[in-house]
Amino acid sequence: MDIVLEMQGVCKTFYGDGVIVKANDQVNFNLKKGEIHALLGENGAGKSTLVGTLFRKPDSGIIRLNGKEVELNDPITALNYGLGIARQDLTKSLIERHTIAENILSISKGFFLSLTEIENEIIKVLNMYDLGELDPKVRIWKLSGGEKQRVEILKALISDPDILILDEPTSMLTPTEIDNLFKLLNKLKARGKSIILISHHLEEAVNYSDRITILRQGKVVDTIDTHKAKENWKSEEEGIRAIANLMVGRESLYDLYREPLKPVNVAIEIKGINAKNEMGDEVVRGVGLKLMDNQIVGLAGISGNGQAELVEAMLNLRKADSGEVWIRGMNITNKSIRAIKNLGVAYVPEVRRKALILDLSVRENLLLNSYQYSPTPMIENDNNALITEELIDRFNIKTPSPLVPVRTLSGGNRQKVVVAREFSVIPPDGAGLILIVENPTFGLDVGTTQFVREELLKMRAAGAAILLVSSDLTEILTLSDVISVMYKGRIMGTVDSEDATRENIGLLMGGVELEEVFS
Amino acid sequence: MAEIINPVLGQSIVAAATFFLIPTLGEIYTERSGILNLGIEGMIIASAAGSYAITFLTQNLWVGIIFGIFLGGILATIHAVITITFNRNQIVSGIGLTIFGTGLSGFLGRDVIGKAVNGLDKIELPILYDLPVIGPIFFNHTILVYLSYILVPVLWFILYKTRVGILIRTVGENPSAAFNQGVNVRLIRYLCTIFGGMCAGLGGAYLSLSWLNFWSEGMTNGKGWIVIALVVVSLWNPLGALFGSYLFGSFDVLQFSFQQIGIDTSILKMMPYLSTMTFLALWAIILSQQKVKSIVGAPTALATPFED
Ligand SMILES: Nc1ncnc2c1ncn2[C@@H]1O[C@H](COP(=O)(O)OP(=O)(O)OP(=O)(O)O)[C@@H](O)[C@H]1O
Ligand SMILES: [Mg+2]
Repeated sequence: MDIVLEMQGVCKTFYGDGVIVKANDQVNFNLKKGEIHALLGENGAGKSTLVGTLFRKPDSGIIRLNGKEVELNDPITALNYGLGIARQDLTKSLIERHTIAENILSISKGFFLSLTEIENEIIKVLNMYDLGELDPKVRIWKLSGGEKQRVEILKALISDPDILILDEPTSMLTPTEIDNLFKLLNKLKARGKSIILISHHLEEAVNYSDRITILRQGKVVDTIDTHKAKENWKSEEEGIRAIANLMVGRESLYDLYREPLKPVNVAIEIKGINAKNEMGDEVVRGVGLKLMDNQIVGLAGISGNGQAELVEAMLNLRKADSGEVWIRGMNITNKSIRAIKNLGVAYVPEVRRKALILDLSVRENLLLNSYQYSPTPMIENDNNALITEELIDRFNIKTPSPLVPVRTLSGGNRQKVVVAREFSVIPPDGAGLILIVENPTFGLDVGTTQFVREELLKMRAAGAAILLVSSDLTEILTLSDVISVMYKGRIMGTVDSEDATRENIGLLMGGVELEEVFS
Repeated sequence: MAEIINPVLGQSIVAAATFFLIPTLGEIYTERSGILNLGIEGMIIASAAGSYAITFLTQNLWVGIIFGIFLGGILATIHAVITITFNRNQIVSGIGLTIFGTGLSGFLGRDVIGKAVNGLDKIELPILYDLPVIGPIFFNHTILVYLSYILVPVLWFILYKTRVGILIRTVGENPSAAFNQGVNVRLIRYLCTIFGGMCAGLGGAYLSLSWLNFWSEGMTNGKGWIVIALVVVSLWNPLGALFGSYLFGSFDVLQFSFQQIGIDTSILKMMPYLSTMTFLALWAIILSQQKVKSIVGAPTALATPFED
């Protein structure tokens, strides 16, 4: 097969604050015509940086397209050479206030802007590739995470690139959407297009890729032929473990064990919550939930069914139109978020941006919760340094120094900062922690995902009451004691983990009534 | 009410409003591309002096006006180099520009204080002038006023209905996104900033050669700053600029009518500035609503440097 893209000895170093990060160190990578090439590695391994060098030239190294050496100095050159990319960091890629059509500039030509033309083109491409419904006239801020991700993929596809790069395209998609995406990629492959796929869902690489390249700390560990390797792997599971070991450099995946506990104390109870979304639609309808100490309640559901709004209404980050929230027998409806947090509530929101101040340092972000407990008006730097060092170490946050801005961290490591801070909240008077986490492992590599899940189980054993909002069914099923399924703003049913299976929870998530599922 | 329909008063409102309108239109473009230029006041006053002096020297009005536009453009280029090429703080640079422009105006105008120059003549537009009520108010002005009538729809059209327009708005909302799609962010920001400077320069020329037709030091009375507020009031939209400028033009003129009913002049002189503050406060309350914010409001990347 022909090699369409060849990268040789690519280096990219970031400098800042007296630290040097070699994000790519002598990377060799090639892409064949008509293949899906998975690019895997831990958070911060340098995957996004590597594909980024195709749009902004690397410090050193050679890039060849179809055997010819090229200089890809800026995105426009790369686009003209037939490269298309769906980026990981959508905040740098989509314009919230503009409509979908206005976001897709690459196909507008001439002096006048014909939005209808672009809109028609969008609909054509959506239908052609079976990318699902999207109204080109809708503004980005109204879209759910998954929809935004589809817009980003659409944006890459619409210029019909020969080389398509997808940087974590599936992190927010539903299982059906993921299936559709891979059908689409196979179609493109058949048409002779080449695809680079970055993902932390290793099963996607095992099932759909032709080759896999693994990066570790900026260097290539290995490139393997997936089809050949599959002959040696007995199962998908074994393949995933083998790849994970290469990524991390040691044995990293093992089964989690959830010890049986008997929860007795009610930590938080919500009754009949109704809430609206930004557009004024009622998206939470009469939701009640009960959460006990020593318990993980999984709130399952395809994202965008009101889970995020429910949690915000619980914490008074969003106005609840009706309903009550009780924490340890105290009515906290409409109390300030500070008052609520002081009761020992920690919160990991789905949108990382809401939990981080990107321009502040890793240390400052890790300490956001604790400043107010400082006994003196001064910031105690020695103590803080100690606390942050410990968190960085424990949560394995890959940062060159605690003093660099969070902005410079890789996507997954930003997430780790939030998780580290919220997981280390200490509730007052020895009460159990109430932890509300939304998709806590979103964007994390397999090893860290494993670690976070383990931490959640440890905290449960130590007495925490945990509400786990997740659209990842595996996560829900492995961690939860009780599973509530949300669909279109309603709780479809609450199922004990012993009775829960992938199938029946999946049906509830799709809107089938509880009686029908268990009849 | 009869007062407002009074053609002389109406005419003076239009004349005053035009002074606000032209620089506001330019600054809207500058800010839409993500650059805040607080140097408006400086560019207006320097150009007012410069165009008046050049006209006096050459006895050619058009040379003077073009010099004013050119000077505004040059001053804005300084701001552009500092903030776009060197990514320095836009607020500091803008204020510096105002101080510099004010100083420059004293220098350029030092020999023409109190000297007379024949300013632009008023032209009665045929047919339109004969329209009842609005005819004499809107269609008996200098050519620069007519130009402002044309600029509003044209600039609106460019911003919302052309490719250039969407590129400008994209750059002001999210420069990284624009850059990733192959847009030359710096070039667009340069062009918009320079265009804003040229409009401010034209506003200055209008002040000294068309509206008031004299030059005296400090003659803007800080009104250039009102333009910054007007951009907010107009919601960064050229059509809004029309509304805002005429509103503030009315405040500016009506203060003199209030004088006749015995309100102290020193209070009346505060009117334009007081109304600016009132409006900004009002707008701030409205614009801070989450729902409103996601539709209109300051360009998201306003005053943030772009580092690719
Ligand atoms: N603009 C930047 N300034 C400084 N350091 C950076 C910058 N961008 C990336 N880095 C560093 O380069 C390394 C590689 O980052 P990169 O984003 O490529 O990781 P990744 O493999 O895509 O990880 P993830 O799976 O978390 O997205 C990280 O250590 C990160 O901190
Ligand atoms: Mg990445």
